[in-house]
Amino acid sequence: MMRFNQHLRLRTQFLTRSFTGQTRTKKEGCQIQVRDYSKGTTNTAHITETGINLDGRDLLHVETRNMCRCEECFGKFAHQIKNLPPIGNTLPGIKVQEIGKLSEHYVSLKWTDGHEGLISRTIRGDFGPGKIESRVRKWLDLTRRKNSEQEFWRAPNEEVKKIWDYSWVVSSGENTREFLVHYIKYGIALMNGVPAGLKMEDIIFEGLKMGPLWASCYDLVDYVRFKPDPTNLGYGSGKLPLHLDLPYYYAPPHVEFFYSIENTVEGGDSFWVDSFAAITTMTQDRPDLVEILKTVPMTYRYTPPGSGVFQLTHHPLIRTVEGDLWRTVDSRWSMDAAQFTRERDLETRKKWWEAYSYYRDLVEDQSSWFVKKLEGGEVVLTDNWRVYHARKEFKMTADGQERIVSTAYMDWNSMANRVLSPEKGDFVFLEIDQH
Amino acid sequence: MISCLKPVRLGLLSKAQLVRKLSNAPELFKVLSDPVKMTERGIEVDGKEFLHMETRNMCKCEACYGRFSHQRTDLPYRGAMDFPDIRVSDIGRTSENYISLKWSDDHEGVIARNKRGNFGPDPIISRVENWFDLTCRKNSAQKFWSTPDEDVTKRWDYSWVVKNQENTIEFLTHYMKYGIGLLVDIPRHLGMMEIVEEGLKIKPLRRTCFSAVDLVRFKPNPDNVGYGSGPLNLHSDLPYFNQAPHVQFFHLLENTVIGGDSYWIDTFPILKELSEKRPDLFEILKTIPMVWRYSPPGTGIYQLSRQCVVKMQGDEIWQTVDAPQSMDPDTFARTTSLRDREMWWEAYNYYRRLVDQEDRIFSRKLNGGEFVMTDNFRVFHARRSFFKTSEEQERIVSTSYMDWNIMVSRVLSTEKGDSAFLEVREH
Repeated sequence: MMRFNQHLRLRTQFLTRSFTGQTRTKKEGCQIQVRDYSKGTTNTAHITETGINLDGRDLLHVETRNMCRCEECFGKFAHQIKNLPPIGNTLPGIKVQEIGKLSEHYVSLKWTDGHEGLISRTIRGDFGPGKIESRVRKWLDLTRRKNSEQEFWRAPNEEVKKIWDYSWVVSSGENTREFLVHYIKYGIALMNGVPAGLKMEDIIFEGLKMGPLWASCYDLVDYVRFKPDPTNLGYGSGKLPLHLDLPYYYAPPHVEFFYSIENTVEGGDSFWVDSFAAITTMTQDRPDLVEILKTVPMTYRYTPPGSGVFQLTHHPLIRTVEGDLWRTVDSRWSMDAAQFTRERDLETRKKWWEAYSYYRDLVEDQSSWFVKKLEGGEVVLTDNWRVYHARKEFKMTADGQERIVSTAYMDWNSMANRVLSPEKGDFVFLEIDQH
Repeated sequence: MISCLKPVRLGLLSKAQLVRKLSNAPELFKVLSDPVKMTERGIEVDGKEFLHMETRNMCKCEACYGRFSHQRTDLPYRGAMDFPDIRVSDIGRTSENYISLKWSDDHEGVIARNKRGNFGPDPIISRVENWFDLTCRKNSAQKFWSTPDEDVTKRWDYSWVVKNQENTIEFLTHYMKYGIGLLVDIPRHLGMMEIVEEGLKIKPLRRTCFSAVDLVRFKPNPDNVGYGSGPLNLHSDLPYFNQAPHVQFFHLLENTVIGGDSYWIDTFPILKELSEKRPDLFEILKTIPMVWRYSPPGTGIYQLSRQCVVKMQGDEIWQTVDAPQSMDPDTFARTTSLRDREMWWEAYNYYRRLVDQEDRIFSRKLNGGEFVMTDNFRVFHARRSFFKTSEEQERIVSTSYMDWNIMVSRVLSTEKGDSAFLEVREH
């Protein structure tokens, strides 16, 4: 079992296949060698022992049957597999019996269950023509958070610090996409020039044309300003060390919007760090400690008395998918170190604290911080699964000074919609009628 | 530990009786004589050892731990972890729930001695003691069901459930144990928001591409198979979200069609069985992600995710993600090696044969005014096809979702406004 698991890990870590069918061999550093499998050596299809070979790509019998795009199997308006029987829907014993017509984007097949249909041959055949195809080709791996498409930053560079003009960003879908693609790559993006009087909902729903927002115990949109006896540290004026939000949700929110409405106080600068870069460094130097952070969950908690909120979770600090860094969860002041002692034995805790200390040293290295005092009318989007944020303490030195921030969250997939999808009402169907 | 002992009027015992009592209970003797002491690595409290560093992170004094926020308030920007070398330098007063400590950074504070010290007094502590593991979804606290029994099919009267917090908690803890809870006799004028937010007093709902509340009824050329009249086989909802919604609400408004029965199964005993009989296949479903997709033309929705069918939290079975109608085997074939796909389809077919066993199914034709809560991470739902024999017949369902932790708040927390502070000031 151990050898099998190691084998699986090795395969997924060192051989990642991008969406376009190109196989990338990952190396230390950034240069990636690409071998292009998307164009097969033969422009044909033929039946093999395990399935079919289509333009040099091997497909299994069972998956071809699940790939049928005829209108009996695949809803034209839903893009979902339909008419699945209540049981036995994967048809494991099925085989391709006959290969029929080949067109540019489809190939007709007949299967041993008697069904005649067609499968897509190209990305366009699977996703649709025009804008869809080009967006999917360019951005599907990025929207799927493949590390090979993201840009980790160990120190803030010009791209990280780039400030986008709000009216430019919202002036067209293309501009909005460019901005969002930048955000997805770097995990952070700043806009300025937001007209006074606009609320968060206006910026997101009408400006960026994205939605819906993800509602938390702080409602859909929260206003963060100083109040005494705060039920959350964010509502104080003290410093907030680097953290990721809402670790006390099993599903911490992903896309974070941070809108500085007014910031006339003294201090109150914001700063950010890319945890993925820190973890990559740590993986090179201390993979043993990274393993601990991937496997031992800490307990997080938010239980302000009298609020009706009592949230407790367990999360490992690092989560990966297919060898990609996927999510970091960390907030020092929401940790429940006491409950942690009830969940884990002493030795495990000792190792965890050692690993966490090491990791935190990397995150708290000032040279990796992007620091900025946000002005009124500036909006920051951060990837709350990756980029930490923090605040320096502030004080009001004169009447009328305020620090007012509005925050909101969104599911990743709702944001990815905006990058990949045509506008609502713009129907782009599969071209199976042209086959 | 002292608080859970029976009160003993030691002063009324003779010396011989005292010695006999203590010698029969060495732990008691140890606790009474020396509940807190220094060790090489930290301190020992009531027989349990803590590291120096973690005690410093456990300080509950009001300089370190917000009384109103229950969050650490003392943390610097950097070097918070510079105290790996920190040590407890002095042990002070010990009370029932707290211990005073002084550390080598000169801070003097208190740590909790027990759960009550950590979480607060009743009703909080009783709820935490009763339901903490259940709210954290520990498999040992859940009740897996391979066939539906009376508890699974139990019908709860809505007006009883919403009458007070204790009843609501009883219903919600049942739901958490079994992954399903069925409410009946809901007043017909109530909609989803009233039932969930005002009746059960849990909010907010989670918004998705289907809005906060979706009405599911037949429409031609549906942009989701749910809006058709055909069968929907056993599935979990919204696998094309990287974070599928967790708590699902399903309110049957009207169901006068022929057919349209609903049915459910618990996937967790299936996964447990798979992990025991075919650990190799279980491992595949845990490590090779499938691609899930929802991209109906013209809707502005284009969602793709990559998720494994099985997700674990340590050794706990955590989540099953599976909706055959939303699979994208094409993208899967483009992004995953042939060998991995071969293994995956073998594992998936084996697992799916277990899912599709009829004797596992809890089936019911829901009537208007019935409401089902399911754990979308665990219990699959399905629908049999339906048809109308007259124009007036309808099948109308209202669906919604919520984050797990929102629902948990309702079980563990006091009512809003009812503060249960830590008893640090009483130490």
